Amino acid sequence: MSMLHFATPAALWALLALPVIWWLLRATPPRPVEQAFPPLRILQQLKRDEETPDKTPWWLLLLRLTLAALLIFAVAHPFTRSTEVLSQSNGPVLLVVDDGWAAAPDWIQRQEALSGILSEAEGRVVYFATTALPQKPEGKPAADIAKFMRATEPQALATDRVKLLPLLQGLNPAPAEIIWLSDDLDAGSGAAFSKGLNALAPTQIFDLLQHQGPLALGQPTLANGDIVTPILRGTNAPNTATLQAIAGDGRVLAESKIEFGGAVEKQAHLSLPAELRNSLQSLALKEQRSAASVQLLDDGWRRKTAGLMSGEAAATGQPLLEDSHYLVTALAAQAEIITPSNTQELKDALSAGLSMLILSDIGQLPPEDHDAIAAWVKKGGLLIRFAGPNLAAGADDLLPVKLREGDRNLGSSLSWETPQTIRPFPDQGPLAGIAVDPNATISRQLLADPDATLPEKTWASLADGTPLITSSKLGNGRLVLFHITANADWSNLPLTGTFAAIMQRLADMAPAAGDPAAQGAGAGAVGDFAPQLTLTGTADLISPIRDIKPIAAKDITSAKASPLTPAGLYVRGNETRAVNLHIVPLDLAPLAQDVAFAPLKPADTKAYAPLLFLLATLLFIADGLAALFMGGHLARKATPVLIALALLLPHPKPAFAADEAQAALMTHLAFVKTGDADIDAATEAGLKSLGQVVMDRSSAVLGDPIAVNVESDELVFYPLIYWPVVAEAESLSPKARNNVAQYMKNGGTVFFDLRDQTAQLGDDPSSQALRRILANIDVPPLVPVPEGHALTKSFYLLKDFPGRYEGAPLWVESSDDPAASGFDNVSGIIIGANDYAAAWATDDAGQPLYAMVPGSSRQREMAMRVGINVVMYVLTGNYKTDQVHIPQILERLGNP
Amino acid sequence: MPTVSPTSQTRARQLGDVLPPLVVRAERIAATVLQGSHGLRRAGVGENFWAYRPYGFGDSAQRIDWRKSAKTDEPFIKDNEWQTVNTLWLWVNLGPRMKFMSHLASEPKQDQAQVLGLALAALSLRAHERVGLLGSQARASFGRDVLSRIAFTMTQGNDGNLPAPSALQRRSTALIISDFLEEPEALRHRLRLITESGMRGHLLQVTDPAEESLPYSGRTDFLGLDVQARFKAGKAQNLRSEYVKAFEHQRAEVQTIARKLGFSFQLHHTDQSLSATVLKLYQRVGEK
Repeated sequence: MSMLHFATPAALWALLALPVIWWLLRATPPRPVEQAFPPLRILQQLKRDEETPDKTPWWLLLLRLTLAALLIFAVAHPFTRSTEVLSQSNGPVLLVVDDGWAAAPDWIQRQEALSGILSEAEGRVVYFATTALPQKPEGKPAADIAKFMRATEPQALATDRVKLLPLLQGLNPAPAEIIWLSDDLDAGSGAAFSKGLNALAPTQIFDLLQHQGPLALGQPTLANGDIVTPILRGTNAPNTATLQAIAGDGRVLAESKIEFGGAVEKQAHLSLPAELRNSLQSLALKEQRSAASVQLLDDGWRRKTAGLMSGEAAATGQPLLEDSHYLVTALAAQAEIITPSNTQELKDALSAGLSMLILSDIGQLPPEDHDAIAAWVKKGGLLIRFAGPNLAAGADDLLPVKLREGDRNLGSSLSWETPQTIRPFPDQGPLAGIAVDPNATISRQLLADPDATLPEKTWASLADGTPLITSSKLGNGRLVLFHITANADWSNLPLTGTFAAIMQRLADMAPAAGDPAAQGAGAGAVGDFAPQLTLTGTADLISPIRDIKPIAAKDITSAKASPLTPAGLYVRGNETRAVNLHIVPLDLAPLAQDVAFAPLKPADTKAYAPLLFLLATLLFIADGLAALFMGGHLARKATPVLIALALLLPHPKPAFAADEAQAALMTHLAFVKTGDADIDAATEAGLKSLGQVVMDRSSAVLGDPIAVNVESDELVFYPLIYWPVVAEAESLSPKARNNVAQYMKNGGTVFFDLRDQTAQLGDDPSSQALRRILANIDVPPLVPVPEGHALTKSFYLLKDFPGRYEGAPLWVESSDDPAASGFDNVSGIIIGANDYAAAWATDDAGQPLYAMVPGSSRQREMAMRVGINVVMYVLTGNYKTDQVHIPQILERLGNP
Repeated sequence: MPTVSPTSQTRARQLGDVLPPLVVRAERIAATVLQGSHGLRRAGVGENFWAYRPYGFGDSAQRIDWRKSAKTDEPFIKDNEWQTVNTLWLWVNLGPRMKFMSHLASEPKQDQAQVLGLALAALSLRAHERVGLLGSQARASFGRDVLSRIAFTMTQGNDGNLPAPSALQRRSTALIISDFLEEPEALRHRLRLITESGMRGHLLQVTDPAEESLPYSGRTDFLGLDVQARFKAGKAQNLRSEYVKAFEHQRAEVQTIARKLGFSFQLHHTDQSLSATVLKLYQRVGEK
């Protein structure tokens, strides 16, 4: 059914103005003709009759009225639609639209389809409900809903149809029919939702006709320095995907292409140099525009370097007892660990921009080390110290708190006290969110001198309130002190997961390697994470547009994209955390089979406004011409001329013949026909297989060989003309001679093949034929190809130039003659006698057509190499000759 | 020593480009007119033989024709026919009105009027009459170069007002070529000045066909050429019959004036052949 609809039918009211326009046009006379008239005096004597001006002629009136009517109709945007979605009733319509990430890639088409449906619902009440952020819909006129729908953006969320369904119940007035534009994903609730909608009203379910299945990214992990990302593939999704690592400024740092081969999940490996990893902002699938194809990366992905220095005397050979073992284990995933063994190494590491430095049980630092470390911390470094016997014996000033001399022993045989457990970490502190292992007990600790600032410096404390971890700022950096040892001597904390979590949290706080000042560890590490950038459904990062609450520090690590915590980047001070969609393979399951849905074509409407505007423009031009004509400005005689001109104009004459245009589109080898059918066939076959081999072995792209007539064809398109010379060849016409000479002068190369290995440019018949051909052409002095000539190394290194025969040399222009070659030293003429084309020629199956003389497969290969060298020579000129000088050039550059 | 300024030289050269076609055209038309005899049919000063008569008392001995006298015994005197030299005073209206050309004509009135005037001048010169331009300072004279001079003077144009003759010009003929669309009273006044100087002559009215028939229709603004005026016609076709009557009336008045003052009157339409008009005009001029 095809009915005419109007997008803005209100504009049609302007048609009422047509009679007024008609009256006005009638009343407004045409522009008077100005006529010089000598006997004006006599005219002026005439009695003046009443001045009824001449009327606009009826045809002009009609033209202008049609013009006005066309414009009005065009503004009303008429269109026809071949299919109707809605029933003809007048009841309210409920539009349910999936606007989750899966709908994002073709959101524009979805909006088109929706506006098509809305234009059908003209005059009816429409409810518009979206499934990603469910809200109770309000009934509004279709036009209002259309505006609202245009402004709706897809969300970086999964659909939540279960939550929407109860909101749709009890709508007043109740919807008479329901349209559900689905994203074709089941999301665990498709069937139930469909049933629920059908219970409300008859429901039609649609999806876009060309809807492509979704691709999504799983959680990336770090394995062996590679970023490993599972890529999930839905039904009907493309079979290949390209994962890109994208920096904050939009640069693509690495790519990895994946062939699914029918699988629903594949791992993509991206290996990045450690320096580049620090600038990563996201992983994204190329050419996928949905939020699920993006994983934002945060500080946790920045590479950190940790220096580790221990006060222990030497390695004991018992790793489980060593200080460093637990630290290395806890930090291995996040940081590169270096262990400076002397002052110089420490200074080097510090000046290279160490992220964090861990001093395990070092009491008094040597003064030189102390100064270097203090300066580094003030610049922004993170210094972590662990207690131990050495520190207990005497400490320097690089500590957050003042320590009491000696340690406190809990639960030893000489103590009344029992080992202490750890208090849960405060919610506002930097360690918020880390669960405290209840089995972790502390048996020895160093005590801090209590003062007013101690509580705020304390990050973690024991059950009795004594500090376990204290910290303070120093300059831009931070000092952290564990009041216990880094091994299991004083407590069993290092044996628990809590220790690893704490160390990772500290590593997150540490500045990225290279530049501690850029992100000092001393910045505020307290408070909630506020949204900085949020992800749209179409995978763009934008400033948050709706009110989004900050996420408490304890929740940030476990946060997933949800209506309350949308996907995006959250910041606190200098720390950045990413919240991502967590897509699992089940999320990509398509709608259940029993949910019947129909494809909806977005573009089954045909708009007429452009056509009407075009017609109106033409009429407007006609009207202008008519006005000129009536005003006498357009000579009556000129009109047909003008019309004829207008008709004649758009017929530009093609500048080249069709086959010449064809020749110019691609590089072709050319050959000259001798008139002998066998030789010509061999030449064509030879050049064709040569072209194939050149394309196989090099990056040159050649078209099929073309036979040229040197007299009549334009030769300028061909880099090489192969010219077999037969004994009976005749001399050239003056025009052909001129063409060939011009061709050689303009940089083309002609390859004459005498096809007779005995021919030595002497008195033999083919040499005489060649002389006839070249008579009166200015041929520069020729020499056999000298040693080191570009032809001997343009692609392969060649010593001699065998063809079907061997022995005859190849003659080229002598490069000693400065006048010979103005074009890159490429010889304009090459003369050989070894019947090269016959050596190259193969049949369609690739079998050689001619036997070689004396004959070996090696000779055929060498002949082919000669051909390739010749082609490369004419295409690249003296490039290879220049390459010879590269060592000298490099040497000169190296020693200025 | 008088020198010719470069600008006037350039101007002369430009005019030289214009003049030859004009003169040539006038000469070509003049050539189509067969030269008739123009003598006074009595003995007098002249070049052509008239009669022999016997030598009488009072005749100068030098006038005796000895060849005739030798055949007889009496001396004879050869008389030539007396040929007076008439002077043609030419005036062509080259005012702004004469620049008009309608779509019915092939040439502006002014071009045709000039050619007509020059053709008559050429014919008169060929008859050894003196030709001068009315209103110009130059004296009437004869000779081949006169035609070019007249043509040259003509290209300088005039204001369209008939000038008064400069001196008493008894027994000379005036040829006045114009469209005669001015006030008849003004024309009468001017013509009378000419007749008072002793001249008689001919009026040639050059009229564009459009001026006679008003072939316009629709809303038309008529603009004056010699006056800054505009006549708005709502429907030009409605004016036509009345206008034609008024135009005829004007022409009739001019004819009356001409007849009363002893001028002949002739009409030329710009869509007509020039030769016919020249022939007719030449016959009239020759009658005198």
